[in-house]
Amino acid sequence: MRIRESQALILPPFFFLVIFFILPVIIILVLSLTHNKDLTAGITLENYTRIFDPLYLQVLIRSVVYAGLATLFALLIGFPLAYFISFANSRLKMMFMFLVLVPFWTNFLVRIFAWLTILGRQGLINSFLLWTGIIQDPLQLLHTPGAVILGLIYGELPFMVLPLIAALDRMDVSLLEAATDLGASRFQAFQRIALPLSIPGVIAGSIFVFIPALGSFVVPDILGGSDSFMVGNTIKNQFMTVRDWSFGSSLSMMLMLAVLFGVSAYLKKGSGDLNMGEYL
Amino acid sequence: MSDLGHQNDLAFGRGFTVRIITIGGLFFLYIPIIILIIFSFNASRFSSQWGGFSLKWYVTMIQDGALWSAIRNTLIIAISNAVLSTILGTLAALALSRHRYRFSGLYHKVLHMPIIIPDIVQAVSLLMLFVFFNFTLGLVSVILAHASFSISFVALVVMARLAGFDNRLEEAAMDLGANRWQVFQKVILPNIFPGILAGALLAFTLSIDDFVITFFTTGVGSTTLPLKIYSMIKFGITPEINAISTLLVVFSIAAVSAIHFFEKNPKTGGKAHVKNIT
Amino acid sequence: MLELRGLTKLYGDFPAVKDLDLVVQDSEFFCLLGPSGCGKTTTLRMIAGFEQPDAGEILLNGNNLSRIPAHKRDINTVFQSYALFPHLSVFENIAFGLRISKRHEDEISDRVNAMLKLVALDGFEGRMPGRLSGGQQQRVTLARALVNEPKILLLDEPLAALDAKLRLQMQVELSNIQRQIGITFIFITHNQEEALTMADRIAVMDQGHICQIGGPDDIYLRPNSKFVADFIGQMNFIKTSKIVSHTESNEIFLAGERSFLSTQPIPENHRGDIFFGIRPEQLRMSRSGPLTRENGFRAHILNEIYYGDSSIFVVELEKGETVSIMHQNYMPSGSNPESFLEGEDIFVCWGIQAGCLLPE
Repeated sequence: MRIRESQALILPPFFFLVIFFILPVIIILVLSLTHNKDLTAGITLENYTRIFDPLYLQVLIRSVVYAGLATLFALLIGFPLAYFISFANSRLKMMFMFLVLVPFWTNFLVRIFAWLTILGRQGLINSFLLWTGIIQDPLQLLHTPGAVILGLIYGELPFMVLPLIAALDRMDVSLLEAATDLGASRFQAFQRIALPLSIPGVIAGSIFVFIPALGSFVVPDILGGSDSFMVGNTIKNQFMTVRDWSFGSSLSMMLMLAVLFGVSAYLKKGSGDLNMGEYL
Repeated sequence: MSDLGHQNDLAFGRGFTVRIITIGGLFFLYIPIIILIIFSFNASRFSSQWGGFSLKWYVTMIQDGALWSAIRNTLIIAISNAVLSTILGTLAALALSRHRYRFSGLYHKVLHMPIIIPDIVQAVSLLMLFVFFNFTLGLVSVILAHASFSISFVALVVMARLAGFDNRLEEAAMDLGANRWQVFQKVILPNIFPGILAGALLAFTLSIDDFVITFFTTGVGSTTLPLKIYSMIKFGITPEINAISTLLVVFSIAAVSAIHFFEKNPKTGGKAHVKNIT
Repeated sequence: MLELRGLTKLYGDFPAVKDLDLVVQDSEFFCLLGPSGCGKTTTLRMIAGFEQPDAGEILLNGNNLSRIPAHKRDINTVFQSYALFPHLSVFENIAFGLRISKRHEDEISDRVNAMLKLVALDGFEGRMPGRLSGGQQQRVTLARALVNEPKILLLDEPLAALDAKLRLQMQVELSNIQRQIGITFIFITHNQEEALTMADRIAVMDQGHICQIGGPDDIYLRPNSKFVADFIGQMNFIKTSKIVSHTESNEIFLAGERSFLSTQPIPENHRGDIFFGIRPEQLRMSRSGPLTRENGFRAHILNEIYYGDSSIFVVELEKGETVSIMHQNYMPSGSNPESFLEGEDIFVCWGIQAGCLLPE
């Protein structure tokens, strides 16, 4: 027995999403096909061909590389962290979950800002190195590719750790006991059982890190320099400074399509359901 | 007995490498935060030197009128967004988990999209929407923009809760003579209420934290706290940011503690927490 | 030979296993039987090496296992939850231990196939565990453990998740396989029927210690305590008030000036009351009273619980206790046995050698 009337419940939220999510995307799509937001001048693909101009292509490639590196490092730090937390006794586990969740809940800008104090010319690292006499002149740490990648790792690390913990917690610990029982060392049990079984968590975590990192605008804006700007900065410039909305729209469409393509390819593979609600 | 959870004498997750990276990872997460807090009490303007303990940046912060108006705007937006997106998100969750629509798959995809798509894309497309319809940028445009992504998060959290709902409870209630409204009110609602609350809390926090979408959809006079912090960072770093940041960190510690406190059952460990908070 | 000496495990302050001594002989089918929470699983996990004892030692053929980690012990386990690796095929699950010990590919293939044959699963090697029935998963777990030719196989309630018919079938198969390969089996269960049907010897455990060790018939017919008697099968308990020894038998007194004779020994150094325990099938109802070398009490039939082949009669003895009596409804000869009705007054009779005297 189901409540039939409630079928209409779907209408208000989807009406809202159509206006405030689908319609804006359509507007962007249309804009991206016009010649400098002139709707009367007919359809053009010039905004898309322009993306492949070396100047912008370089930024796109850089964005993918930075996001990829950030994802890789977040995984390398996040997996052991999640593994440790998942197998900790309940008191330790609660404490560590708390420690992971506090940064997760702390304002992103504030956390990125903290690195200015550390990496700046008069920041802590330079002050310390000058004081010890290892260096005579302050190092350029800020506004470098390294600073941007560091910021991305730092900002997104909790998004890697939480799905990994969820995936590891779901794993039946008797599987690891069984592997040990059959002669596997602790490392072999990890390698042959825990790792393959946590792949859905690894993929989910990587998606949660890679996508925001790829579209990031705050991190390169604060920690980066002109040689480490990412596609997010270019999009922002097109809309706010250059005011070439059509080109900005085509970049946005590219970014969106790349992300949707990547995620749906993962979902099609059927290796797992990207059920965000579970990690949320 | 066998109910040992993940604890074990086989010391999984206790290897040297795992311990080192865990400790290192937590240091990595916390050192910047700790430095922020320490320097918020630094009398000197410069982070390179310690000028003695002082509360003067907190005093500056309290006297900063623009900051207070930013906080007021942030709260107005966050509360309105929480109300709007909780209602709409819960409706979507109820509808999708209780009915099979002709386009259920499509609805689900649309609902997931705002979570997947990079916020910068959503931000510029919303900006174009408002520009296209000559909608004045201000508090209202920011609230609508926030709701456009918060709905999805609320819906997913509530759906996760509904997935664990036993439909037989509903049948049992009807069997005992409850009408449909009574079933909803007395059986379904109490069961999904924690999910709705978690969704509202999530929408509220997403709103407070959001910078990118607000940055593109806000207008004159509707600066929010993250925007205020951003402009302070961009136009000359002042230690006042350390003081604001410290208070925000204290706020998030309080929020996480509150959730830990409400979720009295420590045995469920991580997953339940993750589920209920984010 | 496996020897446990003074084995102790604490969870916080709670002793899950305390000062446990036990010897299991080679090629024995040994069963640890007890209610949940009695410490049998913990004992098994300590033998496997999943948990470290807080005191005592585990010796396998004289070698102390304490310092040997779980993955280096010649002991394999069949898990209650099966613990089959969901990402590996049946073949790879069984081959897991052989691959870890870096066996040659041909040898792996031969030994896995032999195991598949042993557990009657040939043809299933390519399947994933998720697509097997409970019984099939059970066999894969068994094969995965046995293929490593362990000195001891530990089985943690392996039949608990199976339905009644399949469980009976697996009981027979497990016994056959054990006899065929001659590996020591240590089997834990809370199901007395499994223990009685399969084990060579049974240790009944309660609250972290062993109450009694013996063959199935010892445990069934000569339990050494009220707990063991109550845990294994059905038993009627009658509280005694006084026991007077005679040359050939003892005279057992009950409340209300009643008494009967028993040739059973009186338990030594007991504390508290002594109970006379007798199983429902050792009692019979009669309209004519006891025969020679039989005790007989007047009684009144309260209820009959009909089971088809037999019935249990709940009967109230004169001046006292309620007991259950098993009554066969059909005779092999085809003649009908005497039938009794609810509410009837009859005699309850039993041989003076039957039953046992149990300390509290």
